[in-house]
Amino acid sequence: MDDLTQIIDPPPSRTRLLLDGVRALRKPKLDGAPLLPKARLVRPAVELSAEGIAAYGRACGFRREQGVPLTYPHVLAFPLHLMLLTRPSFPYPASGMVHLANRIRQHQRLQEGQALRLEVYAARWVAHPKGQALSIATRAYSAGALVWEGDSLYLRRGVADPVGAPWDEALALPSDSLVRTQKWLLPADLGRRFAKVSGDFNPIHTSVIGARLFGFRRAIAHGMWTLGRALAAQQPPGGLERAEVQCEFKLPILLPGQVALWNLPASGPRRAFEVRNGAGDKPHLRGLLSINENLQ
Amino acid sequence: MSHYSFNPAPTRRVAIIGGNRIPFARSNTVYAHDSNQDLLVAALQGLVDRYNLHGQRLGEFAAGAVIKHSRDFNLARESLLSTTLSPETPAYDVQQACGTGLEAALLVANKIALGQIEVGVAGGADTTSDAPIGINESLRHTLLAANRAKGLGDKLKALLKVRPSMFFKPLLPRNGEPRTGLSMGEHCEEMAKRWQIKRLAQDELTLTSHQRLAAAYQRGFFDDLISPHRGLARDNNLRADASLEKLAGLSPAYDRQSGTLTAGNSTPLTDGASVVLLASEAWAAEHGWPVLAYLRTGETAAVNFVDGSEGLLMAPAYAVPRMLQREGLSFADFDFFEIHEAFAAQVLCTLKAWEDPVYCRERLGLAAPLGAIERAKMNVNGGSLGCGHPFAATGGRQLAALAKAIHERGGGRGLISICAAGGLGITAIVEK
Repeated sequence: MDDLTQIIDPPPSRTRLLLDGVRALRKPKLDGAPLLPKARLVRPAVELSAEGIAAYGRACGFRREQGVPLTYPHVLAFPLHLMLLTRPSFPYPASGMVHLANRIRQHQRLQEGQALRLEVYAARWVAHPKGQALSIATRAYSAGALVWEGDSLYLRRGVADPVGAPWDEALALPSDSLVRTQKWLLPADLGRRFAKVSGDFNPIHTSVIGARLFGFRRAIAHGMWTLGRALAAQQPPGGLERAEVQCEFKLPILLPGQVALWNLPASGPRRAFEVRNGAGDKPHLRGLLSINENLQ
Repeated sequence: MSHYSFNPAPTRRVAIIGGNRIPFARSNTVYAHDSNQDLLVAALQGLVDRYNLHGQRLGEFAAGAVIKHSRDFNLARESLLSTTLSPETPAYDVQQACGTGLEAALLVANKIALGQIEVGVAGGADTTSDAPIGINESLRHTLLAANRAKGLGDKLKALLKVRPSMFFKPLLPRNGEPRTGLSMGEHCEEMAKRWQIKRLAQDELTLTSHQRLAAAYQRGFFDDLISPHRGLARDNNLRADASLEKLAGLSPAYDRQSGTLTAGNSTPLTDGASVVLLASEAWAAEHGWPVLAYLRTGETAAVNFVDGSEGLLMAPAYAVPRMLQREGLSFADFDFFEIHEAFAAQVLCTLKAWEDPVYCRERLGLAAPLGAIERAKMNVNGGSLGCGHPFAATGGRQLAALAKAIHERGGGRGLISICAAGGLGITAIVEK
């Protein structure tokens, strides 16, 4: 592989990411198949800092006894996702990319104060019924060993004849037997609060006007917040050793709003869950959490 | 070899001498301007007056409130100091959600049983009218930061972070489980669905509760159990004219589409207080008071409602069989059942669970179901649906009423069962 490894140090500033995002709003019309960005963006040592985890935990509802949240390294790597999507060579505008699905695997316990080497790269194009999707890989290493990995699926709607093999099958969940176990009231400023810890200042999450520019009536909750909140509700105390979560982002959650967590009593290592609207008939998020199961 | 010093005398029977409560009032009505302390003082002073305890130093006073101001850190002691009991009577606060009153009674009873004290009072009060409103969390953090800052300059700098909007978004007390965000009614609605409890059955139970409470007032049952307060002589939630038609006309309160819980078959927010006088038999004899009944034992259970494996209010279903097994008793040995009616549906779920062979085997580990409770023996003088439910005051109300019912009957045995927030269940056996 002719990977171009680019060390990112220090991390990009918020201003820089915003400017790149604005610059990437317009892209020249594609001529032929899109080219996969080849860069591998690397942050050699990112600390799982106590303050960072605490701030993220407050935003999503994690408690200290739950250890490092399963989703937390994603937040640390997210600025690199944005850098990849806003590169001049990337064929589509970054702000129009819809986060469709995410898969996270943790291979060993993460500790506060631990330093991770984070690598982010475009893994492959994915053909999707609604357009061209792209899988971005996030890999976290500690002392040379892969400790955590994430795969994020982003979609550019309306691209005809998308290329690449399709994504995994849709999650098979026993949706009919899930019961409502929690209710969350989401405040209007949820997007702004989460932006401060995630670094994702995408206007569709942080302001009504911004959301309207992209066709939403109100600001919408960040998908990774919803996933984080769902895990905060389900991660056991004591922290995780090995774990996996797969999720699909469905209908956006308009802010302010009220949603509910639906799941089944934990019976075994796997736990299916959905975040649904107030009436309980439409899913915003579908997921499957597996804890301490032998992962391939 | 060291000598183990906790060496109690042989345990003694714990006598229930009597109880006192003020009439319960729906939230924001007659007691709108009373604090928890005002209510508790009224109930305790009533007891002191009735049993002529003026100036007496008792073993202890244990009481609590569920919805509590931070200033009420010593609610029981402060209340005691406002009565004519000897100020040398020690006191402490207890808080176990809606089990507060009964748990306080068990604590006092255990000390009497072990010979540590001769006499004590247990109780509880709650007001949702005079509820604490916290200041906005951001404002609180800002003020705390200013308080920590050294020097005027740093203090002012910290205070500069105060925003006007902070003053308009106070922290209100929530009627919801902290870990689930669901209100108790929503939790109970889930239970009703799981156990397929019909609306009509809930309304019928509610009607019975009101009718039996009205009848108990009618025959003067509460004359020596209640002291009037603020001009109120009986519980103002009581609807003597309640009917199934009126109850059927109410719309669902927690699930407008397919719910069965209504404002009628759920207890309303209520203000009130109750206390119970417990003593050794020797103390009772010395002071010439008849023993209404004895508090035999108690059992507390908790369930995992957080991950949905059990209903929030199902813990009594577990506590009761454990207690019966320990004491070698079955439902057939009981003459009275005082089941706290937080919601008619919650009572019916528990009763159904005890009759269900699969549930009793798989959840409760019983070879055979506990069986049915004869309705004629359950809440014979009305329940929480009729009189209301000031959280911490319910246990004392039930304990005193049950002891008196046993005394009136000339003996017998009764079971008390209370479900509480946090998946807790508190139960006890009273007998004579």
